[in-house]
Amino acid sequence: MIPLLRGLLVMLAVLTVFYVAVGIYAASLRREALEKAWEAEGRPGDRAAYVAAGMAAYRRSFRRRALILIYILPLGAAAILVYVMNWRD
Amino acid sequence: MWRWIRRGVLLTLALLAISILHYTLPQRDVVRIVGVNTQRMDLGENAFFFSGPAVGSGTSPDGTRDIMFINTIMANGRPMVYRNEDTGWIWPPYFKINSFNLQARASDLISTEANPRWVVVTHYGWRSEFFTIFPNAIRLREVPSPDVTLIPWLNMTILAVLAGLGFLVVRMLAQFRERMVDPLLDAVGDAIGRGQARAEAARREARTLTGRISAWFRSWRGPPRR
Repeated sequence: MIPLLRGLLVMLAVLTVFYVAVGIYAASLRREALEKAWEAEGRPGDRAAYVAAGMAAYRRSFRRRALILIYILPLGAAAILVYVMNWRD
Repeated sequence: MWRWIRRGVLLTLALLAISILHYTLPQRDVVRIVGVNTQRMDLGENAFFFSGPAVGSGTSPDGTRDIMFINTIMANGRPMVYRNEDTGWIWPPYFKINSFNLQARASDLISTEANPRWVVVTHYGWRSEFFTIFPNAIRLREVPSPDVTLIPWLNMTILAVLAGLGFLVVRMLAQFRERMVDPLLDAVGDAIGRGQARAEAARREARTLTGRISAWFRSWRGPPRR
């Protein structure tokens, strides 16, 4: 049982690093897109406020929340693999 | 010279990555099983290529362990011996915990040359006589004849996913550089530029007598200026 817990902890640690990194990357992409949109719309008002509003909307968006799949997909694949490896003939 | 060192390092890293993939990804052989046994092994420098001591039956302090083996003859007539060990939960990520069941299946599939039963053995790892290391069998499947076409769909999928992840990492690093590092370097470059402009102004001032004298007075207050 202890090795299983250790394996889970290692997986969670690796996935957390990846989750944080991809989270930063996705937010950076969104911010860049917002800055470009602000330019394309003819610079409406304050740039920082425009981007901040867009980022607030992004944090509530489905795309932001879908990043949780970074945890779900590998852990689900591991669970399926445990079954397939050991109990399917 | 540096270019060659760089190439050497890159080549070494590439070979290492390919070796790790080749060792870890599943491969399949068509064999007939001729016997199974459990062998006491004194693991020394080859211990790296066996499961860790926390897995399965454990290892005594002097590195001695009982390991299950599956002895087979491949379709081309050459022998191949697989170990049959649980992999544990971290690496390689097969999560195999049914080695005893697999051993029972292997003994069920034992056949003779006169009346062969062909078995596809899914395994990972290498067989090396020099180092006494064995591939680890992870799955047995009986097939009617040794002439089966095995397409490695799983490996293709895994390699595609890995390539996708590699591409993602490259994109992430590029984005990081574009959005974080380059603006920072620009700011540093601007600061250096401002410093140079100030030095240039001081140099121009120093061409006249009064400028030199006032510069000398200023040097009492600040650090000496060249």
